[in-house]
Formats: sequence, C-alpha cells, structure tokens
Amino acid sequence: MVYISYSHRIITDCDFIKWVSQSQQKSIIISKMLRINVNSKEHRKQNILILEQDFDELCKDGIIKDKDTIRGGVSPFDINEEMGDLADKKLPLEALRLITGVVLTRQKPFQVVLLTTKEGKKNYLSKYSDFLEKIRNFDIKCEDEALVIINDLYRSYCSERENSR
Amino acid sequence: MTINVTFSEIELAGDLKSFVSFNSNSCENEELKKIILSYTDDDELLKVTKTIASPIKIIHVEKVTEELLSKAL
Repeated sequence: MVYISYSHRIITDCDFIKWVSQSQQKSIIISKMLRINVNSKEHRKQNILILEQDFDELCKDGIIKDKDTIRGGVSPFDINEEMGDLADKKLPLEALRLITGVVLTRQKPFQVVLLTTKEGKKNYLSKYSDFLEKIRNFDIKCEDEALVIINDLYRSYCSERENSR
Repeated sequence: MTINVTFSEIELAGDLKSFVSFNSNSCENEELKKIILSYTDDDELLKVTKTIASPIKIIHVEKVTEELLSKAL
C-alpha cells in the first residue's frame, strides 16, 4: 500500500457534488475521490472534505443516496468543533466554507482548493473578494478545472503506486 | 444498557487484512475472515460493514465497484 503526501487538500460545496451527480463520469470521479482520501498520508480519509451541514443537506435532498460510500470520498467536517462555536455568529454556509478552507491552510500541505460550480465560483468571488484577495494558498476551482485538481492528485497516487512495484 | 451500532466505511484491503490479523475475534465468522485475508491486492477499495456491540466486528465486506458507485450519488 502506498500513502501519498498530496499537494492540496480539498473542500467541496453542495453545488459541486450536485454537478458531479449529474455527470456521466460520476462513478469515475467518485472512485478517484475515494482513492485520494483513503491513500492520503497526512489526512487519512480526510483529504477531501465537505461541511457537515452540506453533507446533511445533500442526504436530505436525496442527492447522496449511499452516505457510507460517499463519506469515503468526501468526509463531513465540523468547523464548529475545530474553531469553537461559530454557530452564534450566524454566518452563511458559503462564508463557513471559506473559513474552513482557510483554517485548513494551517496544516500540511498548506494549500487548499474549494471545488464548486461556475455559478458558485462567481458568487464567492463577487461576495467575498476582499476576503479572498489576500489569501495566497487558498483557491477556488469550478467544474472542469476542479476535475483537473482531482485528476492531478489521483495521478500522484498512480505514479507512486507504479514506483512502489 | 445494550450498545449495538452498525456502520460502513471504505477501507483498503491491506489495512483490513492487518486489522483482522491483529484482532482474532474481529469477524462475524471464519468464512468472512478467509475472504478478507484472501484479497491479493492490498490497494483494493472495500466497503466494510461493522458493528460495535463490544469489540468491533466485521459483518460484511464488498468490493467497491462501478455499480456501487453509480448508485451512491
């Protein structure tokens, strides 16, 4: 078995998971996300995260049908546990995702990407431009560019596995 | 009070084999243990169902297939 120090940690939002669920490639995308998570050296089963609230909403809406399997590819993350209770601040979910992304930049590999849709990215960039402008190790990628990141991390697993044989 | 929780998670075959080897009573039956120890590819992804009634006990294992994933989302 090989364990990989991936170049990025990933957080996904609801819209991205909905977008994946409509893709003809969804099985391949999920299998790559599972692989990235399970073989992560520093963050076993938690290299790709989703806010717990987003995960619950996707289950409630029937987008996630098998939560045990999907949890392997996107691990629900409780930002309140990490940061103390942010619930009193009544922040919108999109702000909580950005805060989570920045919080994760404190840990290896110190590079975090939020995966979303084209519309989602536009929304984050227009509403939170001041917040995002100064952060160098946190990025937002949408749809096909998000898949590039997933493919890159998956390729690092494949190449490490080849080298270990 | 009786505690009995069932949950499933995705594991690498190699990790599961190690777990089973170190915990002699971790499988519900001998046949399941044999199936787990017979996986030759340690990097195989498996969906493992377990119970916590006292120690962790594995009650079901299946390979992560395209069919499983296509129904998951």
